[in-house]
Amino acid sequence: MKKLFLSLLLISSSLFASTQKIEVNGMVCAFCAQGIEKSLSKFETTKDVYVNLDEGFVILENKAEAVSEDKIRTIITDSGYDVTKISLINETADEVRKKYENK
Amino acid sequence: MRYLPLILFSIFSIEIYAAPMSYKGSVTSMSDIGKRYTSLESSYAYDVKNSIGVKLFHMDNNSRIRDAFEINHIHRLYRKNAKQSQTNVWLFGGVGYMESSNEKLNGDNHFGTAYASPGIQWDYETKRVYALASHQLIRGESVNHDTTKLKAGFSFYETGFNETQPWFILEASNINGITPKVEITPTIRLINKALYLEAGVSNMGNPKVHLMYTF
Repeated sequence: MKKLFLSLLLISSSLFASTQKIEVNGMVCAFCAQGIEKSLSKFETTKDVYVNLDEGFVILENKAEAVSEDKIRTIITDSGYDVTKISLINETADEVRKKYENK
Repeated sequence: MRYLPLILFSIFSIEIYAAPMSYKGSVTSMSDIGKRYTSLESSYAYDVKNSIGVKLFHMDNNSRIRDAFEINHIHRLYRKNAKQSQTNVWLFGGVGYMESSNEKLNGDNHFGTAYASPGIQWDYETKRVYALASHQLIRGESVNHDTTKLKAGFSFYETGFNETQPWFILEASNINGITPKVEITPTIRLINKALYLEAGVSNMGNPKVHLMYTF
């Protein structure tokens, strides 16, 4: 029973974990864009952050449910950049990282 | 040896960025180390477009030495974030106190004066190209050290977020009353996320180093 309960708990947490893809304008420099990585990493719910300068997006992988879009837009805007689109994706940040860095 | 405190401050300062200011709530510190001009400044971004800070600088043209302290404000007047570029216009200005030595003025070896330093900067950047133009007035009683700077350069290649990106930047600058003519400095700039280093030697034989690090 205990094993069943733990298994259900693991499955449910993975169901609620989410990854958001944030498309950002103005990210042309790693030195400047690291402010985005630092700010998003400070969320308690953040599991991983991946910044791709070449394609102009940030991947935010959350431990639980997705962070509200308003909160993300505020963080990115306060970092000095513009959000053009936020979407949910099925991959983890690491999967996206490997996909783009193995090209 | 006299530059050691500035170097150490640059290394141990927190949240140091290349831009005049960074994101809301951050502290930006910059230092320039050169034969004729050395500065150290730090500012706090109290909102996304404004920061307030302090600056120390030292100017020396062999016969005239100026040491100054100022409180300043930086305002981001304009920013355009495009998919592959960023353009900014900054207004900045400060008030401070400057002391001069090694120069006889009205028969005195030393004098001090309050001064104001309004300025404007435009910069444009992509992942491969960089350009900057700035002009700052530094005016007080018997003081005019207006400073003009132009920078342009390119990156040798694009890199990922966690890799070191090398740039070649050519800088042309003039500090009225300090540099005898326009000083041209070819520099190599290396950026690796938290580390920003720019170094070169000018056409007047003056080495220049600009170092920043983020903790």
